[in-house]
Amino acid sequence: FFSSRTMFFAAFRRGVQIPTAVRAFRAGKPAHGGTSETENLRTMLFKSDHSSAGMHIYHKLNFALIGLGPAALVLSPSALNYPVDIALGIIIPLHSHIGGNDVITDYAHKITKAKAFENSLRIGLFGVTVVTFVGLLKLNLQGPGVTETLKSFWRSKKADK
Amino acid sequence: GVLSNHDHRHRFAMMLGRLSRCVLARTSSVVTNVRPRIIEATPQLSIRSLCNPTLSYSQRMDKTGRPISPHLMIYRLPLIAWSSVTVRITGLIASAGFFVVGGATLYKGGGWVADTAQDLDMTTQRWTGRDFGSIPTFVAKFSIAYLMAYQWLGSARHMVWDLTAMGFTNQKMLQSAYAMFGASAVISLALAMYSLPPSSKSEKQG
Repeated sequence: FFSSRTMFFAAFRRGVQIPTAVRAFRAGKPAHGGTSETENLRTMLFKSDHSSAGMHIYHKLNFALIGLGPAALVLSPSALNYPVDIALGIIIPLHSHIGGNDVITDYAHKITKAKAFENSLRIGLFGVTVVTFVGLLKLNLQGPGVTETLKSFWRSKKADK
Repeated sequence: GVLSNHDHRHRFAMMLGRLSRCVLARTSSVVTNVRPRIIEATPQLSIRSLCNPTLSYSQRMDKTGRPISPHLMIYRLPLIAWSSVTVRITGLIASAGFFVVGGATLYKGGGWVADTAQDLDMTTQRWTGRDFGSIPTFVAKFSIAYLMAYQWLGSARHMVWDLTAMGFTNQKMLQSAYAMFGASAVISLALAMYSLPPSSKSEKQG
């Protein structure tokens, strides 16, 4: 809504600053202010470590998992463990997803510079996360639960009735 | 002939104008919403290659085509670095494990993984045709315990760093690395030698 001529003169007057990209060490905090509105959901889903919201979620989830792990171990066979199981079933796939995006950002570029490779890896990771999420949900709702399933490696075989 | 001064200044002003428009278009959301088309509609502008502020440092360096000097390939990582790398490795393997558990549950039903895990020796014997004794169960228990214990200890250490900023000396970090590797090994060995009784709720949640 400003004509290009107006913008040119305004910028020319105050001196144009060519953006020099400051090296941003954290992908979640890019040098140029982050993504535009339309890109935000897509970035958070498929490129989670490039969105600062995703990284904030990741850090909070880590704290939650640190508490939930021993809680699940201690509470396990009882029904008190049910909310812990549900929480684990939601948080573990999210944690794996954002962490996996981190790994892809770090290493995919070193294998091939082709963007298609990295993007296909990210889409694959999203699929893996969906499968994990739905599978753990089913385990919690229609099976013995996440903790009990892991504990069953320690259990001896059920005696035949 | 010789180009006059006016020509240079005119060209520079035009270039500056395009540059400023594209800089403003990228940095101001108002202008972006109103006229994002200026850049895209005129692809033959060479200025366009400069007007790409979303290129990171790494991407710009890639474009120069220069090779990177060897760093990780020639440097021997200290144990502190290995402790961090192992957190990531255990996390990746644990994620793969949860994916397998989730996928198997979707494919085979809610109780299948637990039933197979309870009877792991028999299952491996059926699958491979050879009797390994109680080794598969021991290996499975040790691996799961080590992955979970090490990942948990690594995350706890990271949380301590985040919240208290304690232990940021080389000495302390080396000690914590030794402690993590040692503690995970001890915990996993102890857990792997320990067995739980059969589940008391055999028909829970059908």
